[in-house]
Amino acid sequence: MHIKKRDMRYNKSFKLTIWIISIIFILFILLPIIRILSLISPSSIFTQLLTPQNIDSVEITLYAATISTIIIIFFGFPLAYLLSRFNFPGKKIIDAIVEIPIMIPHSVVGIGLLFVFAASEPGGILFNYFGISFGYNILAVVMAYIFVSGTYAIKTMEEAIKSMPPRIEIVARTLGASQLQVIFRIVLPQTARSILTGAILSWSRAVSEVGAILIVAPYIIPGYESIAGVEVYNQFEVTGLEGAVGISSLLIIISLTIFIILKIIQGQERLFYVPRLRT
Amino acid sequence: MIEIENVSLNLKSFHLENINIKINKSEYFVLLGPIGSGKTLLLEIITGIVVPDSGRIIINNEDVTRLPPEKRNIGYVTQDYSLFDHMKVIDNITFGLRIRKVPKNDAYKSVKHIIEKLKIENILDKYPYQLSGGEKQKVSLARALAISPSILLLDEPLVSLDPKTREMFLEELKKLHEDMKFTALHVTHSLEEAKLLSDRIAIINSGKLIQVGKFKDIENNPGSEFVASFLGFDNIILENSLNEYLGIEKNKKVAFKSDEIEISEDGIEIEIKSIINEYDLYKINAKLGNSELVIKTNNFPEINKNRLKIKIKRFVIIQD
Repeated sequence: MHIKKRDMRYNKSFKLTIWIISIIFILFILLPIIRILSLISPSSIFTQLLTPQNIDSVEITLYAATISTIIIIFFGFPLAYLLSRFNFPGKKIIDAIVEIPIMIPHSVVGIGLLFVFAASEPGGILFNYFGISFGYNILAVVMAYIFVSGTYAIKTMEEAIKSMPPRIEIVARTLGASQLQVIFRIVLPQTARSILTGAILSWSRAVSEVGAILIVAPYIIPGYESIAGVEVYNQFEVTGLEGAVGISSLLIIISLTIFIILKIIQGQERLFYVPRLRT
Repeated sequence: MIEIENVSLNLKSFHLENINIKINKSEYFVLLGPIGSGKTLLLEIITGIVVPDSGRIIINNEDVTRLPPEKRNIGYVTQDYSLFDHMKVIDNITFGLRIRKVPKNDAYKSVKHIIEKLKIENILDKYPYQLSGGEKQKVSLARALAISPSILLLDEPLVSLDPKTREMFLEELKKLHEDMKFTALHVTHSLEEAKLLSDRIAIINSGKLIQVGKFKDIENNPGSEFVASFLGFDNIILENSLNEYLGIEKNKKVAFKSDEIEISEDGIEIEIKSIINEYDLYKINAKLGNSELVIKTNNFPEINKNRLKIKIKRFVIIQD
């Protein structure tokens, strides 16, 4: 017989207070999103949302965010491995450096990047040597994205590697696997889910970036398109609140889709390996 | 054959001092010691993960001290199984062969006899998370044996198993060794494992090798008080009146187990201090001369003025 379990730990008025406070906060998050989406009528999808200008700017944003995420994983995985497996003096400092991008205002990141990579600066001179220029181009967007969003993927991968007992790698080596084989055949597959989660976190963080981009690439030459976050700001400046609804809604829909995919991946225990110690 | 020759390692908080062990081909060697005695560190030196400050590791007459783990052909079974959770059981078992580029089918053929011996045919398509502790440890063992290792290292392999599974696994391990005759170095703090499995044992404490030999021989002739106490001799006393009664040399320490004593009228007299009832037995704390001793008995003894006579069924003399 099924007996409904009554939770007797908390009394009614206590529970009610907790609920009311929580709902106020949840509504605060939901209302602006719902309000924006409510302003679109199905008949105006093409005139409001999918205008050529919006599509262009979203395209650039997604493209730059994807490239930056690939670069983040490529450099970030070894860094995450370093932080989770090696012991060395100053490890805590390196760990803290990885977290800096979350702490500093992103417009400051833009200024910093310009000070290093603008044509007259050391990084810029080096770039120039290879025929590359920084600023008002996709490269600047990608680099700003990497700076502001890398932390999320690195930290996620670091935690995943840490949760995998090092002994597993030792056993794999006694079985004949070289250090690189251990990485590719054991560590990467076992942390694949976390790598993907980290990648999606970084990717979505990049997509929502505005501050740094306003400094390094407010528009992109030759077509003078802007990335989506900046485009929202531009359209708001030019046509006011109503005008920014289209591009804002498009961004919300894309972000929510990614968010749902992320949640599905996190729920799929067996699709990707979940590092967990089971005894 | 594996030789550990004068191996020393100084770590900040721990020293492994001049370890010498020679394990013969097909021998089941058990390294016995308390937790924190340096057993696992020694295993890590043999695997090649840790390089000793001095000394050599020789496997089948080849000096492997400076070789990386993947070049040593060692099987390693850990207490937490260390299975590759993203691979099916069969892929775990054949991992070492596949790394050696053996085609999947041939790899399966060459591990078939191990799978059959361990009776794990029915779990080959499962993932590690679907297995019980005992099954996981069998897979870990099969995976280590699949590469026909020069030596199989087992680091407390039974410690994570429940008592019943542990007992079954212990017997299977014994049988498997009798069948396959692999060379094994098994690290444990369990006397039971050492007693049942070992051809020979070594006792290690605080990074030093204390005694090497057959379990029975060491039990009959413990070289030090530590060894005797580690082997379960809970009474270790120096009392010349006892030595005289037992007919042995003066000023030698005598060790005996509290449950290998019988109460007997023609025994030696002791003074009772207290009697504690512990479930189905009585623990008697007593004094013999100036030494304290413990006796365990199933029946409440008949005591006369706090005095009791006892006979020691088995004792050993401590040689140091």
